[in-house]
Amino acid sequence: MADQTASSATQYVVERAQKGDVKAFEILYQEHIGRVLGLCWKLTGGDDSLARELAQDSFVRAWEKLPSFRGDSALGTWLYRLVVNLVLTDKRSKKRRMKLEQVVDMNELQIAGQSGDVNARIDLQSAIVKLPERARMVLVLHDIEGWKHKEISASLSMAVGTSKAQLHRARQLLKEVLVR
Amino acid sequence: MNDQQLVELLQKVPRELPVDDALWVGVENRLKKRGQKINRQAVVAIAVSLLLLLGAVMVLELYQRTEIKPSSLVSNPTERPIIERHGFLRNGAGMQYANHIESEFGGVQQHYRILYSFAASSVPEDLTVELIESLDLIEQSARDIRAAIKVEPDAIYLAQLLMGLYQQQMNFLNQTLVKYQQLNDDRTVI
Repeated sequence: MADQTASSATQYVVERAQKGDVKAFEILYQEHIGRVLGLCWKLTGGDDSLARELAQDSFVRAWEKLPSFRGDSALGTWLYRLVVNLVLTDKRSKKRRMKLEQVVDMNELQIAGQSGDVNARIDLQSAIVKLPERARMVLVLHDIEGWKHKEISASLSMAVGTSKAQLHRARQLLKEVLVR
Repeated sequence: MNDQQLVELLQKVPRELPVDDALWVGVENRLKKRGQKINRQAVVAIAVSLLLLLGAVMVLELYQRTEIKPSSLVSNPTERPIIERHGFLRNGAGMQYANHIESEFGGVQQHYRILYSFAASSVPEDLTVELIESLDLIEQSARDIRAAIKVEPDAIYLAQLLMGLYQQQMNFLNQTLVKYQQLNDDRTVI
């Protein structure tokens, strides 16, 4: 009952936002910005300023695309896909350079991954963003965001086998760091 | 550590990051700017579309329509007695006929004035002076005839005079348009 009410309320807010109500859109923004920013941060390899910029871009794009949102999936699912596509497009445009490119510094990973204290999860997060780019993106989308390899391969323009291989590589690198 | 254990750890990684208010302010500003930009674009787009539409219609008319469609009045004004044909009253028949002519020619005149303005805008000014003087003379003549009809509202011959004048005016405009068109074509070729 409560879920239905919440769902109806969300639907109402979405409809208002679709009609151009900025206040309604702000409610949706407040609901999702934390996760959108977190996703951007991980996908960009922990680049704070780029993540903030892409998070803003994502909501501007979401505002533009919202009228075409049919409600076939949850708004969050639709939004996070939009975010991932936007981050990938940004990367492909090569107008901006992501930091922490392909070379893996195992020492950095190790420092980031040492996690015997209360900051363990934060350290693991730090280790994730230092992974090689493609491996990191596959790991974030698969293990954290719950995407399927088929979806990842389509978005990242890679074969399903490559996606699996990159995931394996990412996990191996993380395990190496965590067991040290 | 196996994959399952690692995945369980990864599931505990915070998905969200703390957000400050400045981020929304940035988004909101961009939405507002975007809205204003879209409004401006819409206004400009509509204005340009209207101008293009008007221009296209005028050009099409200028190049396709070189002959005046003779009105039923012009084609054969004395085919039947005018009063009977139009059912005018005897009293004020000249005035009624003049009004009828005015309404008949009014639309065509307006049409030709627009075409003329458009064609003349691309012709050197010195070539248009003579025409403008001639058109002014015709206008003055028309005013004189209308004034005369007010004095003699029964005089059908005055209305016929007015009709002849309008016909002359449009023939004159028509010939000028053809000439301007040729001039513009020559300049385009050069």
